[in-house]
Amino acid sequence: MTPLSCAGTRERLHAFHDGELAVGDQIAVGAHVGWCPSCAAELAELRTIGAALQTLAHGRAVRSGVAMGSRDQAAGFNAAVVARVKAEREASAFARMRMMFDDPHLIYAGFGAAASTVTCVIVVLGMLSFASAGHPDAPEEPADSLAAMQSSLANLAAFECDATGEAATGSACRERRLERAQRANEIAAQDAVFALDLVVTRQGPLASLQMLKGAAHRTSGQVELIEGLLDAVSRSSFDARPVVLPASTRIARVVTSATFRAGQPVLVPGVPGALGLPGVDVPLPPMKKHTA
Amino acid sequence: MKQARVVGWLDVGGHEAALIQRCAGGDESACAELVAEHQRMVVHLALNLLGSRDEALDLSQEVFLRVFRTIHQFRGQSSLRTWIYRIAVNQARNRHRFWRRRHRDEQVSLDELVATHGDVLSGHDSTPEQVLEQKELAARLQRALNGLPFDQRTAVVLREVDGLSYEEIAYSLGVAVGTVKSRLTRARQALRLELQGVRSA
Repeated sequence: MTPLSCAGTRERLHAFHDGELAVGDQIAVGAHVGWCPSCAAELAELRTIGAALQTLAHGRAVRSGVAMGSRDQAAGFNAAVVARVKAEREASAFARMRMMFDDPHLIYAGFGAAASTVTCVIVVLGMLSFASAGHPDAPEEPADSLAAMQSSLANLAAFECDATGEAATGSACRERRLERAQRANEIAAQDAVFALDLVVTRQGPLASLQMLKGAAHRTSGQVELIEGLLDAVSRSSFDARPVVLPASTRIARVVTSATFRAGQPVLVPGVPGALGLPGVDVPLPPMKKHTA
Repeated sequence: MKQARVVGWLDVGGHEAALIQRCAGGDESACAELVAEHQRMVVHLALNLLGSRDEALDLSQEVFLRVFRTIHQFRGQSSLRTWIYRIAVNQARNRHRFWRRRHRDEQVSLDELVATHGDVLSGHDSTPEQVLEQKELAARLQRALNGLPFDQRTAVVLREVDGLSYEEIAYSLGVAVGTVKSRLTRARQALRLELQGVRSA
């Protein structure tokens, strides 16, 4: 067995004091402290500290009266613990909640489940809202929508086929229908939808023209066309068909919607022929009409 | 009532395993038996770690309640005693954090320590000078112990007072054995400095 140096002994001194060394090291350290006074002094300090801590702990227990020497004291503590355990088990729901929060993994699982539930509810609500949009019982879309225009164009094409006496599956009719649909699609990109507020005076001219609603994302060319259109409307009058107003009414305020198709003559719905231009687009009923 | 689960026992004797299963099954007499067997060790550890009698008794009750709440999770990965030590250390650590926040400014003077702790080392045949020196030593050791970080203090108490092995201390603290060795070395080094200070004075 190789004798240990002082450095090697001091490395092992704590474990030697605690009896945690292997047998060989235990013997080597014991032999070293037998002849080395400095290492022996260090070991003696460790033993003094250990003994002092044990004595202090014992003295503290005695002074505090928790040495549990008496049977009554131990029995009192025991009874208190068992009573609390019993009370806790009786309140089982509350106890189970506390146990859930004792284990953080259950908390993570709970949060995960809650997040999944919220996600599922959001997805279901989203699907329901999309589904209701195409449902037959769903409220009808506004008549000035693009879908309504395409639908009316398609119906017009079908009417033409029937009017000419051709079969609905005939090639000429199908070609015309396709051509119509294609043109409608091209036109749709340039369509403009407006809500206009006008005042029709008893004398005929229109006044206080105001645009309430218009499609967004217009190009500069479209804006120019729209401004020209609004100018034309504001200069127009009811000469062709004078408005019949009650005697007590001086002016009529008309609030209406209009859809203008690109490349078609313009007409203000509710004011037929006001511009003197032929053609009827998709006539829309007035949204609201006030008289004053 | 929750049924006791079948567990795998590695380091638990037959009597202890039966006691644990009875406790997990809600047997009050088994619970009382388990408390009676371990209350002394739990109360003393709590007292050594917290220093206050009332805190120690309250903590001990909390430890046993926690033991009975979670005893069905015990798998015999250690002895029942070490498992209870682990619970006690965790509860004491939580309470120590709370206590340190609330009583950070409360410092005990050396004279008070000498008055309350110093008489325990004195023997009957000591001279008055020796008694005074031992009181001084005890008080300074106690103050040095109180000044140690919680994990170092727990390691040294579990080793010197409760006599746990390094492996048991490691399980109780939830750390590796090497960490236990380094904590013990640092704690003893601090206590040795106090001891040498007393002797040089």
